[in-house]
Amino acid sequence: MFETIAVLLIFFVLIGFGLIFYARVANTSVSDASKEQFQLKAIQTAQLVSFLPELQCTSSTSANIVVDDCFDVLKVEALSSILNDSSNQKIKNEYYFDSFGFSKIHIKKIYPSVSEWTIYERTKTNSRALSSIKVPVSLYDAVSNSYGFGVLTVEVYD
Amino acid sequence: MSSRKGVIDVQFNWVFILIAGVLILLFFGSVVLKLKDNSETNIANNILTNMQTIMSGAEVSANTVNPISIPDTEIKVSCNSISVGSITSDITKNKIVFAPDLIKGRTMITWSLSWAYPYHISNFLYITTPDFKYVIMDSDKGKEIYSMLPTGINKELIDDVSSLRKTGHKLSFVFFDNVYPEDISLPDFAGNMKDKEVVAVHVDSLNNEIEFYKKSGIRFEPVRKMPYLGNEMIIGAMFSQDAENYKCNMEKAMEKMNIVSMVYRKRTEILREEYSNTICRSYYPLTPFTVDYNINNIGDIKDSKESLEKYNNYLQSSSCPTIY
Repeated sequence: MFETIAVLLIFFVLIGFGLIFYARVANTSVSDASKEQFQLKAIQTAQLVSFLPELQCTSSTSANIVVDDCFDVLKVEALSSILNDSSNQKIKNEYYFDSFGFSKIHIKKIYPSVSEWTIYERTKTNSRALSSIKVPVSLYDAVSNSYGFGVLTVEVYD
Repeated sequence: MSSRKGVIDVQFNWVFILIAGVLILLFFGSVVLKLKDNSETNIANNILTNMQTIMSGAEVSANTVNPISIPDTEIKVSCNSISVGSITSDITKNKIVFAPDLIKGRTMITWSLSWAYPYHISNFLYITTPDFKYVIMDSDKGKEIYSMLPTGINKELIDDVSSLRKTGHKLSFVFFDNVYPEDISLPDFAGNMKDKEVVAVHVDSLNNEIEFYKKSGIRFEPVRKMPYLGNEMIIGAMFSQDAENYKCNMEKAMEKMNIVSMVYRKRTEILREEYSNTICRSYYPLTPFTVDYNINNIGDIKDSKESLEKYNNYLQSSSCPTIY
């Protein structure tokens, strides 16, 4: 009788150890998956911004043809001023928050002149992680009909 | 006395073994069920993550068709969410996805088109499966829509519904202008199909309206009329097959149009200011941007588009920076 109980006890102790080990391994893989998801989200946000119709250059021959990796400076100025206007906070806090979440989107023109715009900013004070992605872009100025060079920075908070 | 104790001992051992055995079985049973649940949740999460990635990819690259192998599971798609089993993932407001409410089978086809009215507003994403066939009634508009659909999608251009042959596909009919779904009788094989497997839309290109129909026996019955802007939305109606889903996506498209138009309005104001002392100034109008962008105002939006196209052409011919 005593031996049977002892065997069962040891059996359950071993099972318990097994479960603890499994839970730790599962936790690590959940944490890895969550990190991977965050990186994926950051890349998707950067991709989304790079192809935003509100910023993209369009071909002068057809509005259906968009120019890759090119932002229209006048559109950048327009969107930046719209989203920084207090009367449009609903657009920023609802529409764009739905797409960009907690992130900061910043464009810096570095050639031929230097200027910068913050398109969107919703930071998180107690953020667990931050991913910063930089994308080189050409900046088209419709007034001078010339191209400049700049960097799009997308910072995503987890 | 000792033999009686021995009998009790043996009986107690059996009861003990029985209880311990049941407990051990219950324990392992619950572990297996938990692992099964976890594995199903993981698969559903993986499918949804991949779907979000596919949607993001398709959204940014217009005019691309992608046949994608998917696990043999049911994927429910609505305008605002996508779900596998009990796991649901949101579709963000900027993603306009026209898809049947249920995707089944091993292959899913995604296709995207750029929607410009008159300037580029968004890319529409269309999702279908090889189970669906799009049957388009022959007309000028019908030919236009037929040629827009890529080869990877099952499509057929027909003059007469009676010429349609059974192929085992779910059918989505598209009628144009003076040919109405309520005036036709479906062939026997289509009449015998489940009502949900055969749908129709009628496009009134003069009034920019799409009417959704449901099958009842061998006839079609009208369900609801909705407006449309551009061939991309007609294709959206064909793919979504449901008036509510179409309406929700159209509202998303209108919201996006409103925001993009605000940007173009601001851009036009800047150009107007920059070119205030030149001939260009008079070609930068602000009136077309004052339109209310909502689905009940399609006529005004259409007028605004025509007006912007006209001014843009003037600007182009006068060598001024264009509005879009």
